[in-house]
Order: sequence, then C-alpha cells, then structure tokens
Amino acid sequence: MPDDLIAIVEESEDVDSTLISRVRLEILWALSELGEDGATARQLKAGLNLSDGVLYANLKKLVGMGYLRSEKVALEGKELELYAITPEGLLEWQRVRGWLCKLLGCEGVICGR
Amino acid sequence: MDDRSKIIACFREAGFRMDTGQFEHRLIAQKFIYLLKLKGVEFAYPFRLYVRGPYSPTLAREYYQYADEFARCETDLVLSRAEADSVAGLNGLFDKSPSLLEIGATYGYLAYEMHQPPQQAYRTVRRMKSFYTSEQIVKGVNRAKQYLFVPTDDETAALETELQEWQRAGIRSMRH
Repeated sequence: MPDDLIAIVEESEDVDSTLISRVRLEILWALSELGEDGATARQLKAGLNLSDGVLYANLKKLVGMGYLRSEKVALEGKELELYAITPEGLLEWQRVRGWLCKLLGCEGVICGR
Repeated sequence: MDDRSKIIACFREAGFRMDTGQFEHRLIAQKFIYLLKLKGVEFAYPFRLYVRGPYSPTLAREYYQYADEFARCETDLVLSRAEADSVAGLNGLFDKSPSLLEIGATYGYLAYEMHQPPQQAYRTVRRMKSFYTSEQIVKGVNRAKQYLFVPTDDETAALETELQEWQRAGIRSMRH
C-alpha cells in the first residue's frame, strides 16, 4: 500500500467522489496501518493533497462516526491535532476494503487481502 | 540478534531516552532508526512510505509493548564501531530534530528506495511536507544527502585530484 501513496494521491483526482466518498476512504486508508501513532492533520492534508475545508469536514465526520479519535500533541513547541483510527474504524475499513475487492473482482490478488 | 536491544543501544549512544507517551519521541524514534537502516545498520523492521513519511508499524508495536525498556534505555548490547559511527554521524547532523529527521527520512526513502532523481525527490518532499518552511526542507534534504551520500570510486578519484590541486596551491602560497 504505502509505496503506492504518491500514485494513488495523484490518480485519486479521477475517482468520482459522488459515487463513494473518496476523501473518507483515503483518510481511513492512510491511517489504517498507523495504529496508535496516527498522523497529524497537517500530515494528512499535505500527504493526501487535500484542502483545509475538505480535510476538516471529513475528519469531523469520521470522528463523529466513531471511526477516528483525535488528541492534541506537541511538536517543537507547536500544538498539533493528531488523528488515529479506532478499532471500530479499522473494522469498518477492512469491511469496505473487502467489499471494494469483491466489486473489482481482484479476489485479494491485487490488494493482498 | 535482538533488534530491540540494538535500537536501545543506538538510542543510548545518541543520548535519547525514549518516552513512548510523547508524540515527538515516537517521531524521532521512527525516523532515526529508518535513517540508520538506510545507512547500512541492520534492523529487521520493514519501513514503507505513509503520510507520516517512512514508518514501520512493527517498530511501533515494539516501542508500545516494551515502553519500559525504551524508557530505561539500558542494554548489555554493545554496538560495533561502524554502528556507533553511524549513530554519531546521524546525531551530529540532525541533533534529534523531529522536523529535520522527518524531512531527511522522507527524502531518503524517495531518493534511495524509490530511486527518484534528486530534483524529483526534492519536489515530492516539498509537496508531502509543505507544512515545513522552505528553509527547513532545504536543511533536512541537505543533511540527508550529507549523511547518506557514498561517493563512487570515480567520484573519490576526481575529488582526490581536485584536493591535490588545492593542496599544491596552498603550499605554493606559503612559499611567498
């Protein structure tokens, strides 16, 4: 997954987000292997190439759904917002990923499921 | 070899007592070990590129599970001379700065593992780490280059020829 990060972010512009929430899937995907460590909002924004408005609206929604948790952390004297996936979020991500695999007919060959 | 002991030995050598509860310390630990690995110090932990930069979920599990051992920063394991030199070099250049380590490690991954040409790797770091200032990015990338650059035989020979010229010029100037 992570070696594809750059290509996925660039190619994600072609995904029809009205069909499925591309941004929420990207956020869950990006956080799914980071466990407790999670990522800061600014890392998610820059890494996934999202605007502030889109990022925060979706983060707020995912926190509200119980899929993410947030906390304040300090880095070099600055206070940052850290987001990490919850066990419920991870379970939901695995379910959605499995569904997408079935939808695409990859049978786990491509995604390594 | 026990990799956890080796990590603790590296941290001890660098004077870094890790508090797993601190986000800053977890960031330093991940990037520090990754850059050492790129430099040739052997660790079993696999790293891949995430929005955080290079990161190893296996290493993360280790410092959460054995947080006490990391906090004590004690081990009987003694690093080899080459390993200790790699730690000293990294510590000297990055001084455990989280931002420089994050930038340097990300550049290292792109340039040395994904084999992106230097200019492309630099541009990708600028985009992925756009929350850092241009000055921080240049500094982090330059330090990574300084730490990881290994000259080829041709480059070493060319450098020696140039240095000899400078040396001769220096001697000539002392005669006057």
